[in-house]
Amino acid sequence: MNREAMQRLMAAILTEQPESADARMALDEARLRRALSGEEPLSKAEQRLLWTSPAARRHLSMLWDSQRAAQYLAWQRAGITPQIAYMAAADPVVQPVTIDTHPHFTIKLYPLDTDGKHWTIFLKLSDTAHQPLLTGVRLVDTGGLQWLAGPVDGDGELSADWTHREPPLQRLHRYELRVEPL
Amino acid sequence: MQDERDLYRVQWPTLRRHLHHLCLERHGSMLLDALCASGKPVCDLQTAVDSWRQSVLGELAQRARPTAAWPGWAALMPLFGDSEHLYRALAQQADAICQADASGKTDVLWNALKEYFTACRDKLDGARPTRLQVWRRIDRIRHELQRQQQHQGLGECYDLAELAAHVLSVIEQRTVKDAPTTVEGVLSYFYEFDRAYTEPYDEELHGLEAVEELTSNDWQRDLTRCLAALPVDLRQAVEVCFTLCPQPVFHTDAEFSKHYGCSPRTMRDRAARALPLLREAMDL
Repeated sequence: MNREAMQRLMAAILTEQPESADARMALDEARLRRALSGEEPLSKAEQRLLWTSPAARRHLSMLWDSQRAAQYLAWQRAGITPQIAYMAAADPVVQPVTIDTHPHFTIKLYPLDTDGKHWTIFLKLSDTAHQPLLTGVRLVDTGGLQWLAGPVDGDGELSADWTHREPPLQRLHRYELRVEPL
Repeated sequence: MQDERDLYRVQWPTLRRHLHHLCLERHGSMLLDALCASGKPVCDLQTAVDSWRQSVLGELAQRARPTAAWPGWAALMPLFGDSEHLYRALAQQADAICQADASGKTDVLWNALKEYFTACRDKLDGARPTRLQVWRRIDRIRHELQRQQQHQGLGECYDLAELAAHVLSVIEQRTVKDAPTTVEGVLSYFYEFDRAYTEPYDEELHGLEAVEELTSNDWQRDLTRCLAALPVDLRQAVEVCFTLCPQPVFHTDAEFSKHYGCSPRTMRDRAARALPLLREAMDL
């Protein structure tokens, strides 16, 4: 089913959810920040609290917005834009592709088979982009598809296998890439 | 600005949620039973409102004890202080409130209460006029960015965090009077004034991504399973109203009724009936 429509339905279901008395206090700001930074993931009980308490969700959403906004601001001050200008060749050959048109983000696509169905995607951040990093990052295309998401490692790198049906090179014919704070 | 993290501004959506829970879910039937008789407002509205107010304040007093971890409970109490204004707000809408109550709806009552609480909050902290002016400037900066993005062929910026960061950097360059100086401060204006973030449904939609990020719950699979277990007419209503699958386009209600065998309104009512059933089935 259509993911956006499912999200709208889920939001409507949650909108009328009653509040549990002191749920908000069970997940305080410090705890949520540790979870957002990836330092200490939420326990099953804490995750359940997020799904059952509108106030806890609201609190998380505000922290998430402010942390991501702070990350955008840090990049802006360092002159880093999220857009990556790149257009794939119209008739691509299945071979490794390096996108190094952005001074701070380098993307590599490695084919895992000869017909270009399976790929590994790799993102590397420059030291300038990596240093002020407050959150994880995600690589998305302007068509709304998420390519990669998660915390980058100590070397400013993040990678994962391609899990979507449409091959990445085809997406690059139509869409541009962006790196966003997670 | 010192009020950026103020309970009445930054945390207003949370306060409003608690008000909704207290006023409607916990004590709403008491007010409506006293306010409406056979779909019409009773004469002694003041007594009905007073009893309800006392009952809500009684619960708030319990929650707002000095040991309470969240200061928001105490901040809710002054919002019930202007009783004359509260009588007026409810009296003006009494007919519509009772009509809606007769068909099981509380939205008219909540809208009247919400307007009263917002006005009361603005009176209490006195910040509204200044904040409104600042918001207009922020909104102008936002429109400038959208025009610029469009000009560069980048499309509209829908990411609130990116927008807030941009607004703050422009504020820093231009020295905007009374403007916020932190990202939290800028965000508080969007939460307060931008229609995309001020209603509970929009808040939930906006916040869903953050919850997904921190939880491993496969809610889409659960929801699909619960949807499949609904009675056929309710499931169809949800699929149609939320466009879960591609739906034909109808130009008139008659075309719609002919195709589905019920009016658009009946379809919406069925979808509304399905939502609490889905929530219960998903154990939320």
